[in-house]
Amino acid sequence: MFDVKNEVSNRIGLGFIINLARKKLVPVHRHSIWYYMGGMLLFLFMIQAATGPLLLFYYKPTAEAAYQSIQEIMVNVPCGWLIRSVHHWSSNLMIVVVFAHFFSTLLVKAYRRPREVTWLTGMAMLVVVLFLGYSGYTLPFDERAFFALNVGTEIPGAIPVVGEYMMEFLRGGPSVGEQTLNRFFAMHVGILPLALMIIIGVHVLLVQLHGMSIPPSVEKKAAEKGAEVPGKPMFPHLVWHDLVNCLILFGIVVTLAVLMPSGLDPEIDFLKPAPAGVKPDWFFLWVYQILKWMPTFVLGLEGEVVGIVGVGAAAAFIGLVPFVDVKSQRGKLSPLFTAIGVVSLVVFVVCTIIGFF
Amino acid sequence: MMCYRTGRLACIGVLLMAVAFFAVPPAGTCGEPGSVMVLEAEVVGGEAGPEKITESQVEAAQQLSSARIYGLAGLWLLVALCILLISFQWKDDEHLYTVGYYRKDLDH
Repeated sequence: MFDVKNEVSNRIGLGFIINLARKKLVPVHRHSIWYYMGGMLLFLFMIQAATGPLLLFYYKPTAEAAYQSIQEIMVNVPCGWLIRSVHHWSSNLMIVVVFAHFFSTLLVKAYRRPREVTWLTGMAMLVVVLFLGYSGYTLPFDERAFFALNVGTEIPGAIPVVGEYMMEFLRGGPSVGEQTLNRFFAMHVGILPLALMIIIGVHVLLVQLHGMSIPPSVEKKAAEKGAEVPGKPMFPHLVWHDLVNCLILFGIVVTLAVLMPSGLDPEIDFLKPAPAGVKPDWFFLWVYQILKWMPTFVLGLEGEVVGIVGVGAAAAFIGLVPFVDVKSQRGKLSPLFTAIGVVSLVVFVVCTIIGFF
Repeated sequence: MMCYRTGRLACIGVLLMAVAFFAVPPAGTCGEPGSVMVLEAEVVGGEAGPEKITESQVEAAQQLSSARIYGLAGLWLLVALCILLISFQWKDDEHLYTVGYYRKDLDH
């Protein structure tokens, strides 16, 4: 009798992968829930990769046609509204999950030796995902996108020395126009997804190489008891769990897409002044709120510049945390870095909420 | 054991029937318009461009209809069915792991 499983396995080495997954143990403890974030992130990226090219069949990246092509997708393309909304919601959920993954990794100190490079690839992934979200937000080239492009490209303009050059590079000229749309389109469909794919590949490879990190508190408790942290095999335990998570996530994405479809603002009126209270998309609201709170001048320097440099320095510090948190690297508890993690999380959540309302 | 299997089959049967029920919306109950709209353009002195889509058309495309709610219900039932099937397989695999089947498999 023709054994499909065996025939496929012989050709693509499925047996080897399954055996590896059976051998690989996933630690089981009270923080195990955070191990599922990576799988969810990968699944959301797959939804993006599937729906993105479908939108690309109809989207026209020119200042005159971009808006109309989105209208076409919404009204005339079969299930276009659904595909666009699924793309929109999966990207938003991807940003939520990437932040959850980031903060959980920071708080359980999963960046400790030998996982420093895994942490750095994770940080790179966070930055790329945020820019993917922002660049996608601008593509409909509606009023909201136009103001977002103006405000968003102005922010790097405030950076000392390179700011002006960065702003012009992003805009493709002195002001927002067709060139800006072309650049953001190229970034959204070409450069950023390719970069993200490479980073995800390296990240997943490193995670497989080093295995799942166990939080120091769990390790300490197990050491006190003189026992090892219990583990379950990746297959079936983690694989089936991931699959169930993905199914639920898919249901949630489609439900959000149907109940709250992605909208479209009015067409751009280049002569219209920016309305009061223009806000960036939710994932940049925390930066927006911090900048809003900055006084006009701080120690003789422009408040906005101080704010941007401060936020950048804080992000760089967190990016380098595996090299700064010496106590954790020695396997000791480091309450200072736990406090830094908690404060970062609170600042992010509180500023986002205040910025939203 | 027999009772457990019958229970499994009954669960799968009930969910399959529910999914089949939601798979095709009954005619006339769901007023979802055709997904492809034929646009009529009036030609006035030469070639006419495509008709401009209005904001109200875009808004209409976003409206929640009974067909969409029906489709969502079907999707969630399908998700539930898949989770049920996975949980059965998961239980079996966990059992095989506990009795040491996988370790034996790895030794060979």
